[in-house]
Amino acid sequence: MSGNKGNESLKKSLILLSERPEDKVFAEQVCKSTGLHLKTTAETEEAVQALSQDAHPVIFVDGSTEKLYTNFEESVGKTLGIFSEKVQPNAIHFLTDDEVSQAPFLAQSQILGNFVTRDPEDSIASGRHYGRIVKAATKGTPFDLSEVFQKDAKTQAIEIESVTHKQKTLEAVKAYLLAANWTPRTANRITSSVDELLMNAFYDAPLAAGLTSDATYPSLNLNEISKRANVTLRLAFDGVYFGVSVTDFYGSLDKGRLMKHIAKEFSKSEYKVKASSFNAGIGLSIVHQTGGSLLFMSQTNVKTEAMLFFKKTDKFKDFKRQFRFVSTQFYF
Amino acid sequence: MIQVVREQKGSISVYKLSGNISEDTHFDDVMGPSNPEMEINCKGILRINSMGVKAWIKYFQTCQKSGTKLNFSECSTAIVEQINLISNFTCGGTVESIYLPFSCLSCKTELSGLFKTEDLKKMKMNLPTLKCTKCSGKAEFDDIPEDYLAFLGQ
Repeated sequence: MSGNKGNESLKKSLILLSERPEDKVFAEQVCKSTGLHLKTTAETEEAVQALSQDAHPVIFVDGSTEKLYTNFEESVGKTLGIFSEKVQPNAIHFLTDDEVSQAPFLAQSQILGNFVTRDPEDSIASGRHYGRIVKAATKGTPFDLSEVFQKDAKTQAIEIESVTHKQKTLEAVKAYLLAANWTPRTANRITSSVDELLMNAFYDAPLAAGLTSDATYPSLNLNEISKRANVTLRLAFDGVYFGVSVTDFYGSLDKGRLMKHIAKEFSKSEYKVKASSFNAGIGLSIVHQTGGSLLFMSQTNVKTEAMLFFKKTDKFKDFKRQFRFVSTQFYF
Repeated sequence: MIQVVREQKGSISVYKLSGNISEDTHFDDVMGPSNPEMEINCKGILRINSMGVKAWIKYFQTCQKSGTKLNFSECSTAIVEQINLISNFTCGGTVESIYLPFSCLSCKTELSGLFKTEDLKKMKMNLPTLKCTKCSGKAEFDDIPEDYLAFLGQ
């Protein structure tokens, strides 16, 4: 395993299990942003060994094919055990060339924490941006959007007391983007994604927490719900990346269900309207397919913050092709 | 909120839709009962969320089941995106025309051009350029053709 020398051994490490040069460039940028010490190997056993020895390491794994993934999972299972304390999905990042929907072996994985779709055109810039996510996550405690952007951007937080304020909030988000010179089409696209996150927070989060049922929608009048109904919207823009997050105070997100929703593609299968459920079940799939990166930070029974990141581009086609990831950070 | 203006063109009922489609949209109320031949003009639709998609499909599937001939015209980019994302979004109807997004290479202004789907099929992804209405510069198609026009191949 190759790595930097000197005092680096005292630092927390980033283990890179990949033979691809662009992954090394990407990981080096992440290390620059985070201060992690890079250890690179092409040997699965060696990477898993390092995972077992280092204190709270971060690991980037080439998950381009099912075979590569299976090798890693089997090795982890044999050496550590899938449910070992040493195996922290929050710190496991799979690097792929595909979208989540094209890699079901990763989307359904027990050890998936972070799904990164490579940007073949700019591993340096994407590594720098992703480094902020890794830096916030390596603290090991729940974090919010402002901690991802840190001093790079001014963050605004808005408390939304009721779903009846959703439309006004969305228009405010759109106005914010237009004022920052985002194109109208991109501003509409981002606003639609924020709409989905707000609906998840207002409708799906209390449902997942078992505090309401489809039959009680849309009247959210239960005592417990009214106490926890507030949603926080955060906006941040550093001139290149726009971040927006929606926080609910239920902490009811389930990773398996989340990934299933994100990975579903309705362009290949028919969408069936379920009259018995209030929600549509397609929101996250649409958000994911229409661009941007997703990060879900969930503290069980406390809160869930769903974050979206979009790169500002001159052309819409570049906006669609931007570097993307789906990240989950769960704290119990 | 969605606004609907209804006109009658011979035997065809034309519905001009504008605004945003969401969980607050009740198609039965704003559109009324289905007619044998309906043209849905989607030029003014800016956004549609997942609950709006659900309401849309529920309404137009009912129309489809009652034998209505559905024709979607002047579909905005927001609607074209949904047609590509949801395989049964048009509920058996035909897509007559759509707006294509363009971006000026000089001043970066966003433009849109209306094209008949039949003509687009003949173009085979060789899309024309437009003249920018703001600076007269050249504006080119600003999306990924294989994505934006995917529904043509279905």
